[in-house]
Amino acid sequence: MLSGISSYNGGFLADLNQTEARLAQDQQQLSSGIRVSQASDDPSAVSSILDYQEEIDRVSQAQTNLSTAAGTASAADTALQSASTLLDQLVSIGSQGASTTVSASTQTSLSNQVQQIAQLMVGVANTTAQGQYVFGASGATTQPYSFNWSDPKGVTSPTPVTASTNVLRDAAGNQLVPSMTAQQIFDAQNPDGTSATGNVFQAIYDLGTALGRPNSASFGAGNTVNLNSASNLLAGGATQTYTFQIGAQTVASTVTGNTGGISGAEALSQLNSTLSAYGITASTDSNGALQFSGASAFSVSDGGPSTGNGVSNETAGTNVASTASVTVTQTAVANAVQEIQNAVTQIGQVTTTYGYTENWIQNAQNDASDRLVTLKTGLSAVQDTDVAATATQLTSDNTALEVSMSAHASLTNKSLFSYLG
Amino acid sequence: MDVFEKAMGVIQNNVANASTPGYVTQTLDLSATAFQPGSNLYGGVQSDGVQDSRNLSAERAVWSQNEALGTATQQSSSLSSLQSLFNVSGTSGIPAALSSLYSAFSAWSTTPSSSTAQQQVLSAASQVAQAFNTTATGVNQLAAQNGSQLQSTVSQINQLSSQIAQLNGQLQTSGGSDAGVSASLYNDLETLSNLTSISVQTQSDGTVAVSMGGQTPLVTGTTQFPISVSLAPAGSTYPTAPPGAQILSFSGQDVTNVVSQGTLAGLLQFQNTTLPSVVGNGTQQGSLNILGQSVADQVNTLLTNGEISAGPPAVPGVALFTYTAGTSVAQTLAVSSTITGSQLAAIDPTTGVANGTADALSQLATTTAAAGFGASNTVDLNTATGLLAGPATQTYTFQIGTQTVPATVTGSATGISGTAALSQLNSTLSAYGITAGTDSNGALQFSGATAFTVSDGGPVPPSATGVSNEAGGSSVNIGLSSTDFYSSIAADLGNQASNAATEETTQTQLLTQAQNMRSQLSGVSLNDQAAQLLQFQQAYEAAAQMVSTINQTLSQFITDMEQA
Repeated sequence: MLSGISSYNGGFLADLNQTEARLAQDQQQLSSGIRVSQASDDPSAVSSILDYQEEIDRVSQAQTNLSTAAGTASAADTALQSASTLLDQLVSIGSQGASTTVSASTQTSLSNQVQQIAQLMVGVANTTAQGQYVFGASGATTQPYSFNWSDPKGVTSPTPVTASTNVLRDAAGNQLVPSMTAQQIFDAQNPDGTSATGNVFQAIYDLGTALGRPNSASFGAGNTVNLNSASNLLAGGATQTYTFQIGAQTVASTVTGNTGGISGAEALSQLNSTLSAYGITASTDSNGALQFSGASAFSVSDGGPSTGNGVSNETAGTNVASTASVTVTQTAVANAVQEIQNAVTQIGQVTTTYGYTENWIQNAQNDASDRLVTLKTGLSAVQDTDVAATATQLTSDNTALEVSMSAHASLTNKSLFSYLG
Repeated sequence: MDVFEKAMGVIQNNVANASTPGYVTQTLDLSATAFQPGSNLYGGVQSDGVQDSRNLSAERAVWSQNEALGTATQQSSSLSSLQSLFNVSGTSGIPAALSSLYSAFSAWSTTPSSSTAQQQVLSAASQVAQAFNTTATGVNQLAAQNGSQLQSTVSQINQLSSQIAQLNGQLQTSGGSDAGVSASLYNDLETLSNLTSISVQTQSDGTVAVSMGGQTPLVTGTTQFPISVSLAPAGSTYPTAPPGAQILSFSGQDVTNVVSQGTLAGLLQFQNTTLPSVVGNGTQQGSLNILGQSVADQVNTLLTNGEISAGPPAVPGVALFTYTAGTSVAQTLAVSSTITGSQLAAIDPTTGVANGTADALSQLATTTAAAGFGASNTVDLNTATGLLAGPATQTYTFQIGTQTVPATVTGSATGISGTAALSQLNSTLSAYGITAGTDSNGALQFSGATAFTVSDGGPVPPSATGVSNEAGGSSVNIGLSSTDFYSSIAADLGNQASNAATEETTQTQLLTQAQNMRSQLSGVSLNDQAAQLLQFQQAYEAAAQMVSTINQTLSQFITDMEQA
């Protein structure tokens, strides 16, 4: 309220202020392109604007996540192709190693090649992309496996590795578990922790060790114990010691029974727990009889059971020297080659799964792009200035301002006093 | 001729004061003197005093509109400032910070063990806290400014009252006939009407008695009764919340409710109603604090129920946000000073999904808030007895749209069971489509068809065992996502600001109309004054000619007599 201004002029000024305020708003909307810059501009539109913006941000992030996942899936696909190539090489090596004409030295050489491929396969399992282990489960910054030929599978894992459960969500909210862990792919296990069919690492290790065991020894026909079916060996806690001479080393490996006796498998396990450190493996021949094999020459003597049924029942004190035997390894190699074939199937199935994942991601990316376009169009319709209408309004308001000021200025300011003499 | 000279003097004064605020047309009353030649009374004209044309009805109409304009102008200004603190583009402020947080959670869910992603979560959480802090600080600054304006407005009112009292004194001295003093007086009254609602009683001596809202005296005669501003008493639910403002009369009585219009009313409404709806006061938590607490509790609940590693042993997650409960949530919201990125719990132990908790956090933007008061409420209503013994009471206040609905549970001498408490609540709430029940832990929870918020007043007296025992009168919003809840706050403020601006425009026009009407009834019309001046000029000239003629006649008579 202006003091000293007549009510007539005060009304004119108030109307002028309103017109100028409208003009200012028109200009602000045109220059910014935004119709709703504060809540009072259109309170009913606030919820829609914020919902649209939040949804745009969410879908944009989903797009980013999908892009990251696509990169990871692509890296995984490439890694799986490498794994498949390596397995093909192993099949070829295995075929050579299983030949009846192959020499022990060739088998040893092939075994060394298998070890090298094993290291390469571990490298495949440890593939990284964008700073993360592609097959690393939830601990994607922890290397899944390390090469260790002393391990029964030729690899070690620093931490217990579980199946991947990480979910990937698309813009529509659908979920997918986009990745598999190195354990799931390369180290398939049974519920009891033993290697399952298709275990890639186990298959490679078995091939390598089968090829690397040209030296073998058995107690011959004098040993009639079938370890595949025996179940009451060394009952009453009896023991039986086998003494190995490996070069200058003398190594004793003792099998200990229990009250009711142990199985052949248990006996082999006890022997291998000692012998694996020396590159010697206890196994069974085609009759189930105890036999030993290793990369280097050795001799073994049987101390006989202290009492009861022994793991082998040749005459106690029998001492045999290993011989370079290609034959013994042929069965093992053939078996290992079959494991490799199973691993090839495993990798093939995993490749198919990742193919599905890549397709899912691609479709999700396309959907996200479409959603973003729709959302941005919707946001624009609610939030943005209608340029044509606002420009027209600006012209109209400007005209009204000029006309009102012109009309007010042209009003006569004379009164009767102006005409008095 | 003297009378005519006076009349022209009055006209000259009118013309000179045509633009003087508060001035109304003065008129010299004329009357004929006695003409009785037989008694040697030869008539003439006399002045019976100056009358002013002030129309009290027109004045009161102007004051009434001015009061309404004062209220609307102040509300428009205050609400405009307040709404500017709530961004509605979604690209800055609280909505942008929340969106960034949810995006950070989403990115983290794809690579839960990435230290970069973890740090981005912490950084985004810090931005959320800062956004709430900044908004709360801005609102509190507005409150402080509003408080200062209250002080200055009350000072202006007291200053004007003092001036009016002095002018009353001058009018008493002048016998109530000083047009200039009267103009100043009514100008001050008009100015005062813009500041507060006034009621004016005119006295026979021309002075005025002014009261605020017709009840609280401001001026009586030459005595002024100054008013003052003070802090209102602290509330019972949130005793540490900033108090509101109250107006005290000269005798120290709380007369806040008397102030119904004017700038003062606009300031009081903003201080005692609008701002507390956002940042709380002694009886409510405030929507900004409810939102902040809701976001923090949702995030913390998910993280503390999640696992950092599955172990064994499993390592549970830790809370991300901290805050001081009650009306300080938004101001004190912060990221825990001890949490590190590696302590963010991504694993959902209930499903075994390695990034399940991270994924759930990323969905919070569209997740409605919990139906209960969270883990802090440990009362198991399935087994509880002895609740609200004494008897004590506990009131839950629901905000359902614009409706505020209290639901009170009353105990007994020995206390009541949880079932009885639920029954009492539902007897009130059923009419509003809200149901009180229990969650899987037996804790109190509410559900409804539409969104609402609920605040727990706590047991009264506080020593009694309550139906729920979360700390400090907690409030939760139910049925709204954080985005929607923020939208409701911003839209509500926008509505108020828009309505206030429209009201200001309307009241401006109405005031102009009232002023025009007053001007027509009692303002100075230059044309009228010019016509009267012409009339009195002619009459003066005629009277002067009469005197000259009579003088010539007498002179001739004297000359003739001398010659004779």
